[in-house]
Amino acid sequence: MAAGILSSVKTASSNLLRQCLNRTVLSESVRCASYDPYPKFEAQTPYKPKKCNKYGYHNKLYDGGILPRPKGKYEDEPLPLPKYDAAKRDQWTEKKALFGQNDYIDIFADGAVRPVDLMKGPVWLRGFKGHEFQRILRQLKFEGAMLKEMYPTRYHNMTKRLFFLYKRLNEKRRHAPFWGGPRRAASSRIEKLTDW
Amino acid sequence: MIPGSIINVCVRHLPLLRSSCVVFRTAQCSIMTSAVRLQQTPDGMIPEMPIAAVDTEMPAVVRPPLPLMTSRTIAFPPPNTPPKQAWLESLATIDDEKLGLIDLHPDIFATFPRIDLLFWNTFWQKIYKHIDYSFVFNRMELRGGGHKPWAQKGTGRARHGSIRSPLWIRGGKTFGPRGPKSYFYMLSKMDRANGLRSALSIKYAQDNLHIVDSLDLPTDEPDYLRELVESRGWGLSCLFVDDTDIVPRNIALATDRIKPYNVMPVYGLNVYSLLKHETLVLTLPALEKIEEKLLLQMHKADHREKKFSRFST
Repeated sequence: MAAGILSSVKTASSNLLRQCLNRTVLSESVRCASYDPYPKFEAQTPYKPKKCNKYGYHNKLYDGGILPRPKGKYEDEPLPLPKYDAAKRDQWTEKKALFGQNDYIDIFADGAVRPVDLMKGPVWLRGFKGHEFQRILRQLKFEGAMLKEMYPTRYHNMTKRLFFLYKRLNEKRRHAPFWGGPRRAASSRIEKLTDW
Repeated sequence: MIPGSIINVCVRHLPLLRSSCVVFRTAQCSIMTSAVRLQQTPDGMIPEMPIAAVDTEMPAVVRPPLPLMTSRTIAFPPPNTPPKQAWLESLATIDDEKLGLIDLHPDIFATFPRIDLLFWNTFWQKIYKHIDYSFVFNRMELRGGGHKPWAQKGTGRARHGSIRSPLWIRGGKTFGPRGPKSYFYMLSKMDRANGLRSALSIKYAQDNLHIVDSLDLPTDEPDYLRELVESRGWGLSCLFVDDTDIVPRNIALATDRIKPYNVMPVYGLNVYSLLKHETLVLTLPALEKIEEKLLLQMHKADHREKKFSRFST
């Protein structure tokens, strides 16, 4: 009976040992695999294999061993950077060679096209020059409704800046009275604006 | 039955088409066969040697005896100034063969060079379409900074009300650049036309202006064009200007591989390019058009110019 118990204990302990060993080995292998996200050789596990969710992905990082090092002079000191010489820039790139083309198109063509029509940039700035207040006002006129809908924070900042500049231009300059410009009744900034 | 006239036309223009058209070289055979088919008799018999006499080689340059022209009528001739003169040259051969002599309008190619207007023209060209996109947040537009960082008194530290104050690192900027900013303005048309006339006069006075009959080159190799320009002493950079905006194939391919040699239509001509390139090469139609447009600016009835408006021409 005792021997039976002992043997059963033995077998139980050996099973336990085996399980523990297995567990440690597996845990080690799992830990190793967790360090290498793109293993070349898949660790053997009794568990369900990992889902192949990055099939076809090629690792962009270099994993071919240590990087090549120069021998001789620059073995221990950093490699010298090439000196940038502004005078050696290419002055005949296509952009530079043809700069200013079509700027006199209103003189040389029949007058239907003007240089303004060929300008690039924000729509509200083509053929327009003004100070910050005028620029914000014009931008709101062009895309205020879109900004209000899509970018409320930007719209809020712009309208806030607009009212700040309005006060600075009209109430805080030399020709304003000493005590400031005309005061209006306090009202909500957003509600006061027109619907763009 | 035999549409001989069509074939004759086809045959007569075959070398010309072959030299000028890219597609035609490959399509030549099919056109030949179609011509043969057209010449078939109703019995289906093909006549002997239908177009055997076609010479597919490049024809020699055949032109009337030189000089082609010795003068040119100019519009609005000034009363007491004789017209200026220039050679009519050709790009067909490397050696500088003069085809004739032409007259240039003295008001356009021999005016007083206004150096100040050249400066203002190039300045305007650089600045008028420049848009400055730099933008820095001010203290209002940055996030946070609402509550007082520490009490006004008792801490022993300097008094501060907001972490986004311009005094702080990572604080707002007070008079920073604000948003996309335009530097647009229009130089008046009279000044721009005057700048063009000045630049053309300088080119003529410095012997950097050349008039050619056309921009047709015999080959599309850039070495030919480079050798031509070097042998004639046209300098390191050349601007070829033609009347149309579709240039011949050969010069397009040749100038595409040499960076300082550029081709431009008349409506693309401008003061900056005139000054950037060493030599200006005009075709005869381009010269006619430039003179016509600049004289129109000088002599139009309504010389007063309205202020620039985006909504009116």
